Amino acid sequence: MNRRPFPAVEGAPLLVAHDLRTSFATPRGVLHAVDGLSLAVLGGRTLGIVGESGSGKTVLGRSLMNLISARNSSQTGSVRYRGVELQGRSVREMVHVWGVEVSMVFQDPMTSLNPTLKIGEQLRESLWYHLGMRRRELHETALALLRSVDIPDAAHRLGAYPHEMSGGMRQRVTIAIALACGPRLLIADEPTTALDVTVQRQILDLLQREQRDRAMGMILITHDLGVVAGRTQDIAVMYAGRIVERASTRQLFRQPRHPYTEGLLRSIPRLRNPPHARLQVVPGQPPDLVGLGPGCAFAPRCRHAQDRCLTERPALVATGIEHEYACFFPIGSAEGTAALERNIAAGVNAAGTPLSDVSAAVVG
Amino acid sequence: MRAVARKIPPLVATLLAVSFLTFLLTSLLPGDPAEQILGPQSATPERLAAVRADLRLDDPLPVRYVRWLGDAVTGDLGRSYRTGQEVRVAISERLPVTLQIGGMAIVFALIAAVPLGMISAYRAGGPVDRAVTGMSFGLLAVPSFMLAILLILVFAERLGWVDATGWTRISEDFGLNIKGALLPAASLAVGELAVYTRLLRSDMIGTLQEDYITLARAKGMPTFWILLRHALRPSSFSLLTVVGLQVGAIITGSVVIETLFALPGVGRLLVDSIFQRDLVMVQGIALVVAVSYVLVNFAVDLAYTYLDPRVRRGRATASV
Amino acid sequence: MAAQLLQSERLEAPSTLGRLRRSRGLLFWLAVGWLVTVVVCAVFATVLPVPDPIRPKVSAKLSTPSVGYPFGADGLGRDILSRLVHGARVSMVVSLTAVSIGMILGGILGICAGFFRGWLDTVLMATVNVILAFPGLVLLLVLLAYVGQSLTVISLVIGFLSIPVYTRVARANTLAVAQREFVLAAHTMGASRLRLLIREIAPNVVLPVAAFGLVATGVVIVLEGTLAFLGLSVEAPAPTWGGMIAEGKRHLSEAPHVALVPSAAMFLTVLSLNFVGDVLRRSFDVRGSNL
Repeated sequence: MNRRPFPAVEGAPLLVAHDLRTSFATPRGVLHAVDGLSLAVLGGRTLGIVGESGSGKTVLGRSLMNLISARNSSQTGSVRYRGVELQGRSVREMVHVWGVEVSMVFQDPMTSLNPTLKIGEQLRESLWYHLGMRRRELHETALALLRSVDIPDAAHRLGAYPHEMSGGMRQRVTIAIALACGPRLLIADEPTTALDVTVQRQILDLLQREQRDRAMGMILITHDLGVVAGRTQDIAVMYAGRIVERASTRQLFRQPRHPYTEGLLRSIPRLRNPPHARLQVVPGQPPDLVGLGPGCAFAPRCRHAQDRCLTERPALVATGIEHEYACFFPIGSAEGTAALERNIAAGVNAAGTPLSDVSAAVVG
Repeated sequence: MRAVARKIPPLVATLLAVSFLTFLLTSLLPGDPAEQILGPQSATPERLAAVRADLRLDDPLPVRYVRWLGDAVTGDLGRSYRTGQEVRVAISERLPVTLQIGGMAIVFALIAAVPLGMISAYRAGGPVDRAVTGMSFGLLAVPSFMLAILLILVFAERLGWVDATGWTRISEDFGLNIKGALLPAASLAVGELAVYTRLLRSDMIGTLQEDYITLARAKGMPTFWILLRHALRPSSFSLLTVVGLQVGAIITGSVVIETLFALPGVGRLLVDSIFQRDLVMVQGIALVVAVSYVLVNFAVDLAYTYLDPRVRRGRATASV
Repeated sequence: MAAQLLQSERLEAPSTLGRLRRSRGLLFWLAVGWLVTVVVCAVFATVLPVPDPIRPKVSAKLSTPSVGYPFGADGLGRDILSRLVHGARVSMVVSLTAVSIGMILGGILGICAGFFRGWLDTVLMATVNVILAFPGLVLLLVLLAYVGQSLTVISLVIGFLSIPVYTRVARANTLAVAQREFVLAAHTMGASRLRLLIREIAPNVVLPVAAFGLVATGVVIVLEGTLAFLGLSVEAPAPTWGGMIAEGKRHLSEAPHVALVPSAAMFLTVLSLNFVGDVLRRSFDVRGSNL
């Protein structure tokens, strides 16, 4: 396997983002896709980033890698990879980071491979360019890579075109491409969303295995809490371009603090629910990222929302063990419980949204 | 292979239709071939009738068409009534000239258009792009004959670097041949350059927004590599179509230029034949032009399969 | 519910004037201004205060631009400005006639093909493809050489030969418009096919075809120039822009202005036509828009 001579030290910060902001100029106004976000990924560990579509998580993934094209966009804040600042670097400098140190697996395998080039060519080019491999070594490494992502009949596939392969197969190829030069950090942006459920698990298992074998850090971006449940050590929940809660996976599932996290947890269908149990959803729509108001972005949909939430934006606050959340009335706290009771009694939250009539007791 | 075979019948049908059209139109033109051959003095009614019978000019049209087509397929396009020269020979003598000028023009245009188009697309909206787009737009309004005059004025008259007219065969003197071909080829090339640049730019702007380009970026491939290896091929379709059209129309496209520069090409032969009412020659050239146009377009169609592998296998994609 | 649907989404055909009124730059109005000038010259050529464009005046032969001759004189001493103004008439007549014939006849055929589909479409397009496969220039040259070189003949022949092209353009636009929501909505509400054709489709196809026609006008003007070089344009001594350029080639070394002035006029006209046509096409073309 392609192991680096000095693998990343387990637990050392690999990627640290601080106050990252990415905005786009749109005809309707400035869109703040990433709105003051900070996070850290540690070597050898997987960070899950969870959010609905529209939360800005894909933009986050690309911003972290400095892949956002400068046209019509602006990015500020700091992104440090192993202590080195990536923000503001030119393309020429980033070329030696992309693929070699940090790699990305894209969401849609049907569009992320060049339809006019053979699989082998797309696999070999980064090996050739970054690692200087030639001929025989190129071929054998490419072959080994395909085999390592469980592609059957690998030798044959090297000469195939993307459209000759199924979605799941193509995604394995993109993973192979991402891993080709042995990056220390892999960002997987919704790697299974476009795939069949049966294939999803295989791909996630593959990613997990590769991460372990190569001792890489990994960021797993998804909208599905089920995906991150057993496969990440830490989770950050994202809403409207901001992190609203961050904790170790175990803590998050056991004791969510932010109402949005709780809503996400509740909405996971459980096998042990009785048949025809109603699906719990977080009511409402994700907010328009153009022209966000001053208060908490989740307030309109939040069961705990009070007046304060509409005017003040809560900052991320840490409790004892690694657990941060951005909420004035978090779950499990005195203020939170009181706020919830007040809202239930009133029938609406502070923003005027009626509370759904199903109690929180559904969570088993 | 099967996909190619399926395209042959419509091709043959088009060729037949086009050849019939050619024959029909040229036969309808006024002017008596028999008179032409004999010349006005010896055109007595008996002699005229004899010539007509001899050439079977009074047979019904379909019969004449089939006979003509049959001859044409074997390469016999008849003999000019005026000059007595075989049409086939006349055309093949002059075809190299036309092909050389037209070919050089397309090559010049492509060599310049590909980098210009790529850079304009990559930095769309930037200063280079705006300059190139503006220039292309202006050049589109300059017809080849106008450009030819300007080039002659500057390079032949004022600077005296080349001669305005005259042609040296490549077999005689390579250097002189190229010198004589430069101005004509350039006159054609500049207009084509504008078209190619705009086409490539527009297609490439679309391609550069695709996911696979971002992935190539995320792999750490350098910009020039992404542009040349990943972006160029999928963006070439419109360009290929137009280049194909122009190759197919190479003879008609060079008519004015050959006349202007007094080059011994097929285009000029066509014009001369028309003026001289040389029916057989006109028929023969028209057929060659029409057939080559259809055939070249067919070749372009086949070339699509090379550029886009998805088309190659007749869409036999694996199921998900 | 249908009424609500119609209100909430933009299902009405976008208004023409609204799209045109969007701000156009200075260049646009300059181009329009030039075109207006050319048209005015063409229409009022005979009443404008310029000398006779046909009568030669050997004493003024090849004179450079001066007070009496604003653009100089040509090889026979004729005032270039005057010939330019009269030549505008030829260019305008030929191009407008030819484009009108092509647009109207080709447009109708194309809209019918695109709207009614079926065997009509197949037959029409097969015919169009065969005609377009035939080298039009050859046909044009042959016809002109044999039939005659009058203004009328040239205009009509070019016009009829261009019908297939307009048929294709009109058909493509018709196909695109027929799938737009407002057409489907009208159809759902029970509009008859004829009504659909006249009220919804035709108005929205006419505009992009007209924008195409504007650019085509420039093509025809250039074509006249090409014909002049081949000796097949309107016969001398009538002034045509193409003829002036062709004639000017002879005097290129001593008096280049004879060829350059009409070249500039032709260039500016074609450029303006392309520009205006392009701007209008971008506002109206159904296929490109991302509503």
